[in-house]
Amino acid sequence: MIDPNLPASDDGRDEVTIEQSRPPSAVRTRLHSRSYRASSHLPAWMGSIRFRLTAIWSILVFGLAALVVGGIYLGLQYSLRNQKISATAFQVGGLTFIQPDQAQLVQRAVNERALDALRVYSIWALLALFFTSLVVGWIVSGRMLRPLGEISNSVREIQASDLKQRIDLGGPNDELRQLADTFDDMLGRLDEAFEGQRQFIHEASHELRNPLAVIRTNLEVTLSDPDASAEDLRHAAEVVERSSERMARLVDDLLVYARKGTLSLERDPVDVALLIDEAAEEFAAPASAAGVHLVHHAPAGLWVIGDRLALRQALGNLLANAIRYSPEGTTVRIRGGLDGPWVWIAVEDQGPGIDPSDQDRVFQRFWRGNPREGREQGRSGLGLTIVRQIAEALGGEVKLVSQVDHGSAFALWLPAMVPAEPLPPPPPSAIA
Amino acid sequence: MIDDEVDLAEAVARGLRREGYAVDVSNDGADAIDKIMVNTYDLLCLDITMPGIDGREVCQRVRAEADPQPRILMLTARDGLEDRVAGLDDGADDYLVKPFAFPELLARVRSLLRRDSRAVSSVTVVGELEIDDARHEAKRGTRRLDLTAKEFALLRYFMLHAGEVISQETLLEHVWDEHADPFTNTVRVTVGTLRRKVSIDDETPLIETIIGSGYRLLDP
Repeated sequence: MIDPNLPASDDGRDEVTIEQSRPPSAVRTRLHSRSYRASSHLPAWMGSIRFRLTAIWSILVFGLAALVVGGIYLGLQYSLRNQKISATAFQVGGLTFIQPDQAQLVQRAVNERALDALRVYSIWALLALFFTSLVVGWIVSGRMLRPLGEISNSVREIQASDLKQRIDLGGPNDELRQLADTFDDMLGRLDEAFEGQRQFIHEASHELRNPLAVIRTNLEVTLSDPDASAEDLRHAAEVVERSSERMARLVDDLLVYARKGTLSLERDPVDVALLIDEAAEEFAAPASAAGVHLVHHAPAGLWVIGDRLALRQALGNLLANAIRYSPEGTTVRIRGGLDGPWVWIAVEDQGPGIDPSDQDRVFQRFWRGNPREGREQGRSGLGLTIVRQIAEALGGEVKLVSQVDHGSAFALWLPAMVPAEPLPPPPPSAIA
Repeated sequence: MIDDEVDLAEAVARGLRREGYAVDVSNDGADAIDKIMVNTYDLLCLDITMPGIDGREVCQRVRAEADPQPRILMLTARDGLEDRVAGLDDGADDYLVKPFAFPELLARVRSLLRRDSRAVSSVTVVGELEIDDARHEAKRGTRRLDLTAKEFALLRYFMLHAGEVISQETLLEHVWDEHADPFTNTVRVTVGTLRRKVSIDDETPLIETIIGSGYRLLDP
């Protein structure tokens, strides 16, 4: 009987307490505990796959051979033992004599001896077979497992700092080769990711160095001047303030960028019309300050699956750009619509447009149309990169149509959410 | 001083001017090339990453066309090996990674400026005269000279070109910056005050006037 109030197993509870008292490296300890356990009773080579394969193979061969030989022996024994020996009965006087056939008796004795010999030889043969199969099994399994050793050797040699190496296992396209190729693919992806990270850190540190240089030089030059006036000091302080603001904004954008690259985004249904309404409301004040009309229109019933905050950020970056580049008195339009399985959200301006040669580069990290002006406005050069990153993380993309002197249109294309009930067809004005 | 970071260029220029150098500032490559082709400079502090014509292109153009050739000190935020190699291969004389310590910039400027003169350290000696560029000190014999930054710069220029006849225009170009008015007698006045400070009482005058061509520092 099991008392339901007791823990399911005392052993289990003990294990938990042991686990809790383990050092933080408990995971590693657990991974190895099996081999530790094996090695505490058996020599290390007995814990190897090679040994186990050999042992299992030899025991199987021995067992099967023993079955066959034993079957033959028992069958023979049975059939021989049950052989009837014919006898002749005759009467002498009142007694009946039974006289077995002498020849058959002799034959039976011979058979018995042969059976004995068969038993002895079978046992020897089985023992020989067992030891041969041990040797053969050890050699064969060693050969089969050799690529595995190669794989683990090469993987051990590959350091995080040098992911250019590959296992590059030759030989037939078997399971081990596939394992090695899988490792190689993984190394390739890791290498790409590390390379991208390195490149990003390089670029980011370069971007941070410029404002740092401004701050440092201004402070050094001003502070080393014993005759610096209050006005000089004030000027230096203003420069430092400008530069640190620029750095703060850059760091913010770098963090957003890095976070979007690593964290997975939420996947919730997002109402596009609401998204556009909110973004338009948020940017109403900056737009009117810049003398730009902000017009928005989104048909109801457009839904996408995505991260609301990330989408707000993407739309916000596009809007901020559009307003920044729009001359006074022009219009910035936000629209949404449905095209097949895609929902699009477009931000159009009537600004100066983007030169065709620059259209591919606008999404590059740290690219600014006019670097000096961009820096003075404290822009990081990451805005559109973040937009693209968000769009791609949500399974969509961002597209640019632009004509010099006529304006630009950036469009987010996102997979539409399949609605539970059929959607009313979008109003034609939304697509036009 | 060529850098598209206005705040940085201005600060460096301010610091260099305080050391007595004549500094012109340019915030983009095209403007810099215009100025280099018109004026003669002893040294360019050149930022690499600039919009339009970048520092490397400026460097190549200067090396191909400018006469006489200025020294070029490249300033850049890129510190990769390839960047440094490329910069030096384009003809830069030295390379400084941002953010730099201003004293280091000054030391490199001094080192580059004395390369083609006889000076081997920051101390230059011509006859009785001795100046220490790093400590901003000038002496005649054992007597310390109390000079303004401009006078110091003038004396330094004279001493780096001791024995040569130097015209007023050359002085204006190398000791004053582009904002100096070429029609004033500022050069004459400053040379005059320097001369009076260098030779007091009945000491031998060391700076002589070559009428019609300029000035010369006597080189014993």
